[in-house]
Parts: sequence; structure tokens; C-alpha cells
Amino acid sequence: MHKKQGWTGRYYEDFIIGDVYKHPLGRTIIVADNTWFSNITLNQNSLYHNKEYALSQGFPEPPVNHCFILALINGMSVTDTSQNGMVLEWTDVEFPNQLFVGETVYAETKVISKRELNSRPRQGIVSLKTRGFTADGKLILTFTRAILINKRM
Amino acid sequence: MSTEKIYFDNIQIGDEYQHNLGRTVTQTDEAWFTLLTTSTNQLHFNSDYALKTEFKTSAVNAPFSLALLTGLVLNDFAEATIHLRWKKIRAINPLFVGETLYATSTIIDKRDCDPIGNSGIAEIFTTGRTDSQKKVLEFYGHYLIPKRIKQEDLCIKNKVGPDGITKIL
Repeated sequence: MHKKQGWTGRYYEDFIIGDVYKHPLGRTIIVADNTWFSNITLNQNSLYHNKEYALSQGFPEPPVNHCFILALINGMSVTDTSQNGMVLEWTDVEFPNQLFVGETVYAETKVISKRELNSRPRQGIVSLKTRGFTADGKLILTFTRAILINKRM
Repeated sequence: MSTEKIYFDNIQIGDEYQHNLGRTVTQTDEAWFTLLTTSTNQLHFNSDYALKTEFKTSAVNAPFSLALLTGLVLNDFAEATIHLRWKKIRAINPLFVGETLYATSTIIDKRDCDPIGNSGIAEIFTTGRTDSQKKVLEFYGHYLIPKRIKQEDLCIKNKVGPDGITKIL
């Protein structure tokens, strides 16, 4: 019987330009996510944790905190992308449609480019474009991200 | 004036703000935030793994620093301020558990797209630094900020207090 290794995450050599990763998990947003997250990050906008106020502002449900949406979609992509690395920067972080409490989100990422680093021979930089969307296909977030990723070596 | 929230009418391009609140990051914040956002990067929740990296300890999840800094900024603006998007977010140095984050902001641009509307859009550049002045994160964000006069009109019309929420019976 052979001992087999579990999922180690991808290394720099594994990224192929043009590849698309459909991230495995879906995540239903619950009231506690929005309220808890907003309050511990000192974002006290009543839209996120006061349902009456959200309704009075014309929303059908409390909208989800943008910082949480970015963190969640980013987190969902980690298993396929930056598990062996760190993020360097995000650009063009856009929220095309509103996400509401109760909806379920999924994400996918495309590999845009990659390059070696003279100063860090054991790592490289990979540029990725990620999309977050709900179960019925509503696009809620798009962003481009550059990550510093370890080589397998 | 430090007890007043900032409205769209108050801001000028070039204004700088030192946001008052600071936030110390704990190991619980780190692990919970990482796991609640389904991230599997062990740097944030496995101290045995973190010990073998160049940092020798957990480096705080960058989206968490971003969320904290955005909260620190928005705390000084009118309650009804809404974040719209980020143009660019750059991670500069790692943040470590036990360090305290503070934010400073500069108004880069303001646009009154709808002069009779209730809000205007501002582009704000924010830098997050630790208590020892180490730069952690910097970002350009767009925010929809309410206008004071319009907010006051709305409060009278909706019979609510100055915070825009408390009902006046």
C-alpha cells in the first residue's frame, strides 16, 4: 500500500497562461457574515447590520459589505492559486451588481501572465483575473491580482 | 470639528486625514477571518508551517488588513457613506499578529455628478501603517459620500434624527 499525498496547492511551474480554474466551493452568505464581519472591521454603516435601514434605502435585503465580498472571493480562489504564496496587489476591483444576504457565491480565475524574478530565484509572479458570481450567474465582483508564488524546486 | 462626521461638502482635493481609531490584530482575527473566507493558505492558521517561511510567524491576511483600513477610514465619514470600488490595492510589508493598524487618507478627486442629488463621489488614497510606522497597505478607493444639506433635508422629510436612522416620533 502506497502513502499518497493530499492536495499541496499549485506552485509557480504549474500555472499555464490561459488556464481557467473553477473554484470548488460555493458559499451562502448569512446575516451573521455581514453583521459580524462589518462590526469587527469597524465598518458601522447601518446598511450591513440594520435590515430596516437597508429596506428604507431601497434594497430588498441588506447588501453585503464589499470588503467581505472581496475577501471571500479571494479566499475561495486560494486553494487553486495563492496557497503557496502571497498577494502583491489587486487592480480594477469592480462590483458590477449588488450581492445580498441569502445569495450563494461561486468564483473562477483565469491565468493572465507570469514572470520570473531575478531578486527571488525561488519564487515568481503570476497575474490572475478572478470573477465572482451568484448561483444564477449574476456577476458580483471582478478583479485582477498579482501574486508572489513559490517554485516547487 | 473633530466630533463631526465628514460630508461631501466638507472635503477639498488635497485634504489629508489622520483617522483616529487604531486596531490591534489578534491571532483569533487572523485564523477566523482566513477560515471564514474559505482560504487554505496555511501561513495564516498553521504556526508550524509559518515557522518554516521567511517570516517565521503568521503574516496577517491582506484582505483582512484592507477591510480594517476601509473601516477605519469610513468611521470618520457620514454614516450613509458607501464604498463603490477600488482602483488599486498594494501590499507593501507584511503585518504581524499583535501589531496595531492606523490609517491616513488624502482626497485625490471629488466629482459632483448630480448637483441636485444627495451624494457625490470622492476618490481617496489611504495608507495603513502600524504603530511603529511600518507601511502595510495602500489603496485608491471610490466612495459615495452624502451631502450635508441634502442629508438634513432627507432627515426632515423622513422624520429621522441627524444620524439618518433614529426615528423622530
